[in-house]
Order: sequence, then C-alpha cells, then structure tokens
Amino acid sequence: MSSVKRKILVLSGKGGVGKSTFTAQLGWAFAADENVQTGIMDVDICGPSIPTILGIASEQVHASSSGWSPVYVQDNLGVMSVGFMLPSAKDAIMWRGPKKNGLISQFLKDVDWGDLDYLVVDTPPGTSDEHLSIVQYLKESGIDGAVVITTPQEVALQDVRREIDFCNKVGIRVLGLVENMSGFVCPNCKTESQIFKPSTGGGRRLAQDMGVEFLGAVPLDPRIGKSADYGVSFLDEYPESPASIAYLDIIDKIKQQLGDV
Amino acid sequence: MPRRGGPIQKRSLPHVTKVLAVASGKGGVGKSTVAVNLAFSLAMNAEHAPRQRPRVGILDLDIFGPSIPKLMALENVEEPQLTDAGAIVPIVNHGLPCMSMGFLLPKAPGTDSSADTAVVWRGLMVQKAVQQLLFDVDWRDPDGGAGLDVLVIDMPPGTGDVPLTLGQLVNVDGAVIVSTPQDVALTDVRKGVSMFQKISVPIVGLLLNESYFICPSCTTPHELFGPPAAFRATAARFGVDVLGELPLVPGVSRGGDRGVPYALHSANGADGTTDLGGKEWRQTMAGVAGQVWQFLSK
Repeated sequence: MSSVKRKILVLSGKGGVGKSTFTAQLGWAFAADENVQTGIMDVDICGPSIPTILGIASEQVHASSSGWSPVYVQDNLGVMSVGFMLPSAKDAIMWRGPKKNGLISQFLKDVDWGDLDYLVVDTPPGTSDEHLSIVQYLKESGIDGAVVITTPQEVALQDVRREIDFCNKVGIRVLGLVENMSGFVCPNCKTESQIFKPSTGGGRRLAQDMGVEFLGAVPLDPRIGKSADYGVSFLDEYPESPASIAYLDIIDKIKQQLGDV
Repeated sequence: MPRRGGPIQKRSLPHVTKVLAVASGKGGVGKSTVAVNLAFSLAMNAEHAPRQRPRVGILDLDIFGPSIPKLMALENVEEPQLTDAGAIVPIVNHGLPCMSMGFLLPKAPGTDSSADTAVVWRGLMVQKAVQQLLFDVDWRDPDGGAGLDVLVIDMPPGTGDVPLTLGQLVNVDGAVIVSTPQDVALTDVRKGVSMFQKISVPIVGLLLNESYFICPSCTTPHELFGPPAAFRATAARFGVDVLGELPLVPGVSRGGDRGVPYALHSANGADGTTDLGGKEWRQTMAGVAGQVWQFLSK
C-alpha cells in the first residue's frame, strides 16, 4: 500500500444516498488528468454496485505473479470489486463477518495497483465488520480522510451522525459532508421541488453542528441514475447539468482539503 | 463454539401468529418507511385479515441504522421496561407496539437521545442482539393479553449476518421486497430475492418505491430514477407478483421525519397542503396490505 499516495473512504451511515455513484464520479474526475493514476476499490460485498456504474459489470479479474490485476476503465483508472469475483450477478453473498474480513484483507494486500495517486474506497452502509476491517488494515499506511454522503431528510442525517461518530471513534479525518439528491428542478417549468425535505436543516446544518466541512449539495438529475445504469460517466456526458457543476466544485474542495491544490 | 445435536430448529416468535419481513438487497430504497406504513395499512385495512381489529407490531432489525424510533416519533423515550419474566416490553405510539435497537442504545452524554450513538460491533454481537430482539420481546396487549396477528420486521440492507440469523432461527411467513427503478438497485434486489429463496422464506411480492415524481407546478410526471420496465421484468423473471408501484410524494419523507407515517395522514395533508400522488400512494399501500393479508391467510 505504500505505493498509494492518497487513500479516501466514501462513507455514509445510510444506504442508498449515492455513495457508489459519487465514488465513480470522484474516480472519473481524478482520472480526467492523464498523469494522475486513480484506483477505485468496492468493498460492498453484499451489494457491489461499482462494476455496474462504471460499465464493467461483465469483466473478470486476472491473477498475475504480482497479485490480482484491477480492471481498467481507462489507462489511469483501475477498479477492484468483489462484484468481479461473483460467478453470476444474481447470486447473493451470504457471509458472516470473518469470511468478509478475509476477502477485504485480500483486496488490500493482494491487488497489484501499481503506483497510485488516489485510491477511493466505496463502502457499504453502516458501521460494521467491513468498516472496522478496512480501517484496521488501512490504518497502518494511513487513511487520508473520509467523505461522508447524505440526503437531506432527518432519517438519513441520523445515520450519518452515527457514521461521523464512528470516524471520530476510530480516528479517521472527515474531509467533509456531501448532501445528495438535494432538490429537483423540473426540466419543463423550472420549478424547484424539495422531494426529500431537509426538515432539520439538511446536510448543511448537520455539518455545522458536527464541526465538519460542508462540501456541497448535488441536485437530483434523472440522468445521473441513467448514466450509472449504462455505466458511463455522468460528468462527461452531461457537463452542463447543475449536478455536474456541483460534483466538480465538491471534488475541488476535496482536493483542497487534502492539500493537493 | 461447537454446536451440539442436530441442525438448528426454526421456531415461531412468542405471541406472534405471522411474521412478515420487509427487505431489499439495496440500502436506501425505503424499507423502513414502507415497513412502518405497511404495518399501519395492515391494521387499517382488515378486509382480508383474521379479525376486524388486527393486532400489528413492528420490529426494527437494523442494528446499525435503526430508523424506526424516528419514523414512529419515539426518539426520546425512556429505556423499555422488562416484564416479571425478564422480557422486553415494546413501546407503543399511534396505537402500534414496536421494538428497535434504537431504544436499547446508550444515550449520548448531555442529550436525551441515543440517536447519534454509533454501534460499532462485529458479527457475533450483532447476532446476539438480533436474537434478543426476536425472542425476548413480549408482544402481548397489556389489556387482555392478546398476541400479534402479524409482526412486520424491518430488515437491514444487505444479505449478511442479520438475514442469515433470521432465516436460520425463525419461521418467516412472507417477505415483501422493496426496490427503486434503477438497475443498480435491481442488481441488489435480485440478490435479496435469491437470499430469501435460499433460506426458504416465501416471497409475497415486489414493491416499487420512488417510481415517479409529479411536479407540483406543471403536473408533469418525472421518472427520476428511471422507468419501471426493468423492475417489472425482474419480477416476471423471478415469477413473483408486483404488489404495487409507489410514486415519490414529499409528504412521505416529511411524515417520516415528523414521526407520523404518511398512511395516517388525512386526505387533506397534515399541514394543509395536498401532495400530488398522495392519494394514489395511500391507495397503493392499502392494496399491498390486502394482498399481504390474503397471502398470509393461505
């Protein structure tokens, strides 16, 4: 792992807020610079979404003498996911903790990433086995920070507060909070609707209360989901969308927080 | 620890006639919201129920992210009481008893709420907590001692420890699987279906959540997370029924945050506004309740 310069975790206490989607955009944004080597690791053993979102769901991994080779979406963007190791997309992986930890340890030690500038790790929701294992294994070489994702409503924020509590408990720096699915602008009449009402102040207020940086709010654009289902980069396909602009602002702020600008 | 004797026997839950799991392979599709609203719908739509005023309870098995206290406006309650026999007494609101890990967590210092305390446990402790929540809760009505006609279990996301433990230990009478329209969700939902088939739990059907949003200004429907075609194809491929397709109604999330489930709101909306799609949402939910009662009575 010493050949990886920056390790970033993408976390959320809550499921379905857009961690994997965000991880993919973050990966593409880093890799937009040809000289930057980026890796994405998907540790969500029960629900590995990264291969679908990046359009490589039908790929398989190969082992070489130097370890598992990641699947390359682009020359400078490599991906490793348990999704590649499943015999079929419809098999449920029903493993208890120790077996999951074994696989995570393999991912971290046996993948031949080469020299990476950034490794972005997509996690499953919650604060359980997978998270503890990741933190333990990565801690030796240092986690540079975590980006926490939420949606505006209180039911999501609750879980996210727990996640930030987890980060504090295990000593991970929180680079900041992203509020996803933050409002929808009707393409017809341009009215903005708050579908998931931020009844308690949303991500912005939570960030303030917990003393973490608010990285930004991404509005709901139906083309994000569509791009994810088709495995293409939303940022590349729809650069003029307010969501793309929001993503890129957030990614710049992350680089600032890491001291890379 | 080595197991003595034969394979683990599945058992029924004390004082519970039927067990219904609300699950999804995917996180964030609305399992907890559906579980709570469905529980109330089951209580209010008794046409196919075993009695006119069926007794329904809610069990939140999401150990790491328990949402039920919030959804039921039960966040700052005292620790649950114990019966003389040492069983946990469920907490009641809006007429429905419920139990959740959220009620058992220590409160953060200086606050009344355990809502922000992270549970950072490994699998074995999770298993023990799940076993307690399943077998050590006394669901009997304090007046009269009747048990539950159905216990609705809100499952956590994923296909790991909790569903495994549930499947090994409990007779589950049916599962409702919730999804959103996207392929990314359906991939995980397929795993959820496969999981229930592996642990021999009959599937009542699939429920589509967040299917479309009606712009309040120009009334155009928008399929924010994609069209329903892939979802319907998934249901057909597995040979399971589509129980209903719920639109995105802001009142549902609002109701969740306030702890007053949308199924309980009157047609005029809780704060005087009428959400487009609200009526259809409630009707669809009532339809799902009817189908669930019919399935469970077979």
